[in-house]
Amino acid sequence: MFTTIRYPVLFTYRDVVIGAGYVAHVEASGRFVIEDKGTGENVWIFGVNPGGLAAKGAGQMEASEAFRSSYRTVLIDLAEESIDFDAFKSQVETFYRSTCEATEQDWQEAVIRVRNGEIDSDWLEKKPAGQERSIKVTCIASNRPEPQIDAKPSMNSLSDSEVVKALAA
Amino acid sequence: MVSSGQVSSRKISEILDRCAPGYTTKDRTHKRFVYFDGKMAILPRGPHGRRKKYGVEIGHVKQLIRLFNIGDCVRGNFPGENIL
Repeated sequence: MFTTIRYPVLFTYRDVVIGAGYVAHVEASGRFVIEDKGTGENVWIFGVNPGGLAAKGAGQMEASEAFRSSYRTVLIDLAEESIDFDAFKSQVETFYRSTCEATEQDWQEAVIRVRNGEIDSDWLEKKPAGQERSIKVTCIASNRPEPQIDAKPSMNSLSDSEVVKALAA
Repeated sequence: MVSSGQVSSRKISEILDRCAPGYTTKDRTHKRFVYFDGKMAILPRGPHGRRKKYGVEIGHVKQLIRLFNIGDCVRGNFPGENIL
């Protein structure tokens, strides 16, 4: 008999994303649930904020990396479809604030199980579950009021360091 | 061809047509964005990017259904799918 174990996770991601005529910094502090059915098959991650995103991996670490990578590709896609910084900011906020209430309930139940010592979570760094959740989208460079940078979404990479190289080129 | 543990893109469209009236989608470079009830769900694109028919792993579809709060509708109208 397999038992599903869920781990509540808080995360903070920081990304630099290039849009059409702007460079944005996105800092998201959100939540997700790691779901391990104990079958030895894939582990899934389900987002609370952002609630529209899921990812899987062969283990918890691989699934976490897949979720992180998938999150970044969403930002890049949003930059490609947004005509300016304001549109990008609005889309990112909609993405982040799409709370999955069902997964949030799983998250809260998992927090209680961690507090009660019912699941082994020593491998997770402990933080207060009530830690602030937020999304901050900041324009750090722009072509307005006059062209200063040659920024376009095609300069985005899956890693921030590649973005910095592209901007420095 | 849709593998085990996957839901066909056609079935996802049927689910959304039935249970998320007014939904919209946008296909971007990496992802498919699905909008409904003020929320945004993310699905992976097909393995070859522009293929119209492809399978999406069940966890992504489960999360979409939970985000849009349409689980009761899906259970009632697609009893054989066993997604949730």
